[in-house]
This record gives sequence, C-alpha cells and structure tokens, in this order.
Amino acid sequence: MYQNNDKISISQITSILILTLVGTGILTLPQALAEEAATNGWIIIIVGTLSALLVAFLHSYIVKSFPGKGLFEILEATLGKPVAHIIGAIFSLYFIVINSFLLRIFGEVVKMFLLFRTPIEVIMFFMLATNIYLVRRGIETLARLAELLLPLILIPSLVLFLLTIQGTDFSNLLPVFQLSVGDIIKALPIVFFSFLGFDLILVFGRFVKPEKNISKAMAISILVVGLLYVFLNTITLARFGVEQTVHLIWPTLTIFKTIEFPGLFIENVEAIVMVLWVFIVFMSMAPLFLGATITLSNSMNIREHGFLALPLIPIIYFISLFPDSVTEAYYYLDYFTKFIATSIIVIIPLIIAMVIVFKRGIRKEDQGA
Amino acid sequence: MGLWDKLFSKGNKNQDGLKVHKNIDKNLQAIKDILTDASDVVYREIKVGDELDYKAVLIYVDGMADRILLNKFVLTNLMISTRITDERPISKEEVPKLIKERVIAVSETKEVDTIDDAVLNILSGETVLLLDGYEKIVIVASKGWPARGVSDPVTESVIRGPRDGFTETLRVNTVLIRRRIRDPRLKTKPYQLGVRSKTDVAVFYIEDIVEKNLLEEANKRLKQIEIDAILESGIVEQFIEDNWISLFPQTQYTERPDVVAAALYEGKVAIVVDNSPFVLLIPATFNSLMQSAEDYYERWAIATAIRFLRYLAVFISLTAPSLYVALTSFHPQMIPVKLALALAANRQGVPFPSIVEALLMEATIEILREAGVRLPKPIGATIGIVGGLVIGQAAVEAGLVAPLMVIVVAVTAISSFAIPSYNVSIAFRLLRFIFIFAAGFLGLYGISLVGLLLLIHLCSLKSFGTPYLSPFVVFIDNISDLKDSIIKAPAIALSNRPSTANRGQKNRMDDKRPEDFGKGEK
Repeated sequence: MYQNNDKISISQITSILILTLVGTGILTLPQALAEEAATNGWIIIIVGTLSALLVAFLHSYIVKSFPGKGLFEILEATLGKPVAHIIGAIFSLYFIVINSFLLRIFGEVVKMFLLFRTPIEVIMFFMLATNIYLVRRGIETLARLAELLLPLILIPSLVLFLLTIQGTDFSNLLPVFQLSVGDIIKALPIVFFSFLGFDLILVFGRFVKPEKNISKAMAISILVVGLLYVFLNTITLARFGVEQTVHLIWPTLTIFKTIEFPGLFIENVEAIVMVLWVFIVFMSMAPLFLGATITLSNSMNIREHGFLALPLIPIIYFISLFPDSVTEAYYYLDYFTKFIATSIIVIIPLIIAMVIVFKRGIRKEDQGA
Repeated sequence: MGLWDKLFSKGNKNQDGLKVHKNIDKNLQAIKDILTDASDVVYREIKVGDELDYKAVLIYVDGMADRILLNKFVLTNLMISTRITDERPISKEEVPKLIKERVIAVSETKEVDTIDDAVLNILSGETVLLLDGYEKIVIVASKGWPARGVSDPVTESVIRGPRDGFTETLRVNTVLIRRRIRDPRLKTKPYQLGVRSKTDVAVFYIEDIVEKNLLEEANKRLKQIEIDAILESGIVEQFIEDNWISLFPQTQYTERPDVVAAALYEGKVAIVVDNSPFVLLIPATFNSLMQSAEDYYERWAIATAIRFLRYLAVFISLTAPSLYVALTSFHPQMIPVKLALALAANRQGVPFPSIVEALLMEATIEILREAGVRLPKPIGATIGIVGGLVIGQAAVEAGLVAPLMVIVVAVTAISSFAIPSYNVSIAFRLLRFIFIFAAGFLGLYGISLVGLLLLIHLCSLKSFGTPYLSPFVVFIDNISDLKDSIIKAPAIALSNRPSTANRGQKNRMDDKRPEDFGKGEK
C-alpha cells in the first residue's frame, strides 16, 4: 500500500534545505569574510542572502512550471534529450564535487579535533558508508530525518553560541560601511558558496506536495540560514576581532574552545560540539549525495537510484583526496565556486527559465490566433 | 495458499465439504471416522420422547464443554421434559424444529451443513447435537474449560489504574474490551488463522474513528498469514509487520484492557489472539511504545517529567558504556581534569583496554539478567544479589575492572528497565553492544555515526503506513500531536485525536454523533 509514496511536505523540504545550506558554509564563512571585508562581512552576507533569494525564486519558478517532474525531465522538456543527458550528468558531477569537498574538510576537522591518530581515509570512508545507508533508504527517510534533526541541531548550536557571548567585545565590529560596490561584488562568491545546496530543489521539487508553496520553503530556508550566518559572523568577530579571525582556519570551531561554564562540571563542550558537527555535515552531504544519485540515475535511465550509491563511493573518495592539503582544497574550492558552481546554479537555470517563458509565449500566441 | 494447501488438502480432501446426511447413523459414522483415536471425545446416544423413540446423539470434547450446562439444560430437557410435556409432535419431521425451539434451554445455538464444520465446532469446545432425519447439525454453545481468571497484568503493572489484565481466553479478553467501549460503532471482525490450529483471532476497531486504509491493510495482511499453527500473538505480529529485519517492534503489545480501549479511541486497530494474554495494537510508533497507561491517570506535569526521564533512560541505556569507552580510550582531553585524574588512578591496575572491560561487564550483566528471568522467583532474587553485588565487588577488588565501569554498567542496566516496553528495551540492549564496538573503533566519532545510522533506520521504518518516529518527524504538520509525546499536556489540552486517526473525527472532546444516530427516539 503506502510503503514508499515518496511524498514530502513543505516543512520537510524546508528542513532539508536549511540543513544542507548550513553545513557548507558554517565552518569557514567568518574567516573568509574577515579576509575579504574585515568588519563589514555582515553587509556582504545580507547582499548575498538577497541574491541567493533571487536565484532561489528562479529555481522554484522552474520547478513549479513542471509539477511532478524531476530535473532530468525538466531539462528534457526545455533543452531536448541530448542536452539533457549532458547537463544532467554535469549537475550530478557538481553535487559529487561539493560532496567531496565537504567530505575532505569534514575528515580534516575530525582528525584535528577528535581522532588524532586515525588515518583520514578511514574517517572519510565510514562517513560515506553512513551516507550510502541513507541514500538507499530514499527521499522520505531523508525528509523525516531532516525534520527530526533540525531542532536537535539548531537549538543546542544556538545555546552554545549564546554561551560564547561572555567573552565578546562588540567594539570589534566597528568600523562599518566601508565597502564599495566593487568590494561587495568581489566578495559575493564566498557568501554564495555558503548557500550552495539550495539548487537541490530542482531535483527534490517533484516530491514536494503541495508544489505551490515551494518558493515559500526556499525563502524561509535561505532567510533562516542568512540570519544564522549574520549571527555567526557577528559573534566570531566580536569574540576574536578581525586580525585573529583571519588567522584561524575554522573560527567557528575554535570559538567553542573558549566556552567556560562557571561552576559546571563540564569544562569543555568539545564532545557535544563534535557530535553536532558530525550531524551537521552528514545532513549536508546526504541530500547532495541523494541528489547526485537521483539525477545520475535519471540521465542514465536507471529506475532504482539506490544502485548508483555504491559506485559513487570511489569517485567521491578520490576527488576528496585529490588536494594535498586543506589549503589546497580551499584553493580549488574557491575556483570551483567562483566559476563552475555559479554557472551551474545561475546560468543553466536562467536558460531553462528563458525557454519556459519563450515556449509559453508561443503557446499564448497560438491560442490567441 | 499454494504449498500449505497441497500439504494439507491431501488428508482431508474426501471430507471437505461433506454434506450432512439425513440418516443419523451415517453422520455419526462420518464424525467418528474423522475423530478416530480421540479418547477425549464423548458420544452420548439418547432417545427422545416416549412414543416416537427418536434418536439423537450428543458429541463433545470432554473437559472443553461445560458438562453441568449439558446435563441440566440439554440432556434433562431432552430425556425427561419431553416425556411429561403436553406438546407432542404430530410427525417425525417436526421433531428437530420442536427440539431447537422448545427443548434446548441454552442461550446460543446454531446450525451447520457440513460434517467438517461440525468437527471444527466439536474441537473448539462446542457440543454437537445430531438429530435423526435432519439434514443439518445443531451446535449448542457450551464452551467452558478451565481457564485462568482475570488477574493483575504482570508485565505492565501500574500504581494507579485498573488491575484487570487479559487472559488466555479470547472471549474473556473481548469482554474486557467491550466493557470499556459501549459504543455501537465498536466493531469486531473474526478470523480463524492457522491451517491446523484454527486459532480464533478478533480484530477490534471503532468504525468511524479508524483510518480506512489502516483497517484494509490490517485485514489484508491477516488474510495472507499461512502457517500451520498460531500459538501466540507474537507469531501474528511477525507475519504482519512491515520490516522483519529491523530490531524494533512495529506493533505494540499490551496486557491491559484500558490501554487497548485508549488505543481504539485513538483510531488504532487491536488484534486479539486466542490463547494469548497479549493484544496487538497497530500502528505502533516509538512514541506509543514509550508511554505507560499511568501517564494518563496521573498529574500531567509529573507524567511529563517521567517521560523525559524515560527518554533519558533510553539515551543512557544505549550509550553509557560506549561513552565510557570512547572517553577513556580516545578522548581523555574532553574529560574535566580532576575527573580525568581520578579516572586514571581508578584504572591504574586494570589490565584490559576499556572496550574489553566494558564488553566483559556488559556480557556478565546480560547473562545475569537472562538467568534471573528463567529462574523461579525466590532464587531469582538471590541471583541478583550474588551477581550484582558479589561479582561487581569482587571484580573491582581483583583489579579486573575499574569501579567506575561497575557504576556505568549498573546505571545502564537500571535505565534499560525504565523503558516501558520490554520489546523496545531489548532492542536497545543489543544495540548497546554495537555502540560499544563503534566506540572502541572510532571513539566519539563512531558513536555519532552509529547514532546516525540508528536514527536513519528509525526514520525509514513505518508501521502500517505511519512513520515510526511520528510525531517527531512530521511535527510541523501535526503540531498538536506533540502534546502527547515527550510532553504530556493536561487532559483538557488533548482535545485532538492523534493524526493517525480518521481526519473526520479529529476532535475528541466535542464528538458530535452522526445525525441519523438515535433518530426517532422522540
């Protein structure tokens, strides 16, 4: 009967999107922004949020124009079958690459904070294996997990951040408004990377019921994440100041090391933070992984997406181990977001949307004639 | 059908559907042929009336039928009253009708057409009355065997609440349920499952509250059961559950009629199986398995606190030993300095790594627990003292385990008893060992990953279409369900039925009766 009807609600897609977005940016955003914009990072975040919103509306417009259709079917209907196969493959490759970056950074962090002597390969492999288990369970399980974990992740994280306020100095946030338009545009891709993942709606859109609320889900998740980033950035800057933030690889994690509970028996909250961190990255990787397998199976005409999960492991594994160091990984990541990711999530959807509008125009003319 | 059909139809193909003959001797012989070598079946041949010399045979299984009822209201009437009454049948053809309508003073009788049905009724404890020249067989309801009385539910005792528990007799159990729901819309659907055991199974639901899909699915799955014997509701459970690989029970069982009634009022379906004091409730969610009947009878704030405590108990019983392993062997820097020093001093003489220590103690306590279950009650307590106190103390003194480990194991064991459903708590007991291995291998990271895997598994589970973790996984859409989850809102606030119930009957406090109900009473 209703074993797996593959339907997810608006609140579930919102939870998925929020968790996906948070995982990509939470670690490095404050550091990158401090480097680019010093104390004016929050302005860039706000501008970035607004521009992400614009792109998100473009995406939801596309999804809503094809209710019940997946990414591949949308591409097929707008750009034709051969192009659809290619772009479908590019999209899944794009998901795979982001996933690989996330995995690499995750492995490095776990190695640095938790398991000093365990090889990073082992850490990464078990994370991937856990991902596979979820991917094979499908979208409904992911949606339920996201809705379950969202409060379990967000509330403790916010509480932890509030605890760090103790040692903050808000004069670190000054001066403000020292950016030219050119500076903002230059720094925008950094923020944009922190929002990568909302393009998953193109893949997951067809499972969402009712479709008409998709743009609402997108708007809520991007705004929530934008707010979180502003909060995060402010606290980090206030705690460390620009000079120190620039020199930290992962300021967001370092900040927790400074927490002191007066009189409580827990002296450091690292254990809690690391568990949260595993959950956050997992909830960021798993949707991307699922998106990759679904898109790939569609463009390869394989009915069951679960079969593709295993063959993807070595690919992701290889890509994530490709950079020699964290610095190199971030270097590649920078290029990837600036050029490839931006074109995939902005330019391709723009073309699709134009085709849709164009075709509608033709249909209207036909009806008018 | 299929395999079973082939296996079992061979033996009784000839009798299958054998019609009742007009000649009483042929019928008697047919039944005797089927029930050969059955020394507990009683055949009582009698003659009715003084003139006609009408032959009748009474057949029942000794011990399963109520003999006093048969003597007093069937045999006395047939053999004596028919002689002294003024009513005399005019012809032999009228006799069966007269006997049925005027002689047998038993509240329930019915008739069957085939010998097979008659035999099944005999074996179920009814009494069969063969009448000469009648092409049907009369069944006299006479079930009455020695049964355990209604007593305290052993596995689900409460401090406050009714003390009657289900027994092994289906009829007693249905009475206990019916007494709590005087609603004409309480329906019950009978089944006989098991090719050989022909166990009675009754499906209970309240017609307008139950979700139609759920009922259909339950009926469909029950009909598909193909097995020779159903001995306990646990066997039914394994045949109808969604995922047989999972460690987690996807149906709820209970010994308490008040729990069944409450579930029926929430739109669930109850499956009562004869010979089992455990009634199955579907769908089951993790949330419902973590509740106790008492939560609803006590003050709400206390019930809420106790529910928080139970979830804490789940967490401790799952992860306490593995956290000990992870923190001592992988992340000593995460423990506060003073505690870490104390711990190190504690563990100084212990020759094993902490994972061996944990596995050793956990295995010991599991064996103790299993031994305690099997032993007679008075010895069981001794085992607890010997095992818990003596072994624990001795192990520490011998320097085999750290004292803290003993504390951790003890707290873990106690926590697992605080989980209300035994079948959930044993699932966690097994998972605890997986957690320990993960902790021994990857420390806190391993624990997080296994925790994630567990959550994914629980999220993927469904019980008859209801997500196993609801309402936690659909809470934004069904926010009012959260009022009866980890929190237990005051009774007044629980005005809505859970979303598993039929949407049309959402409100439980202002339950308007349908308009055609009770019409014409004015």
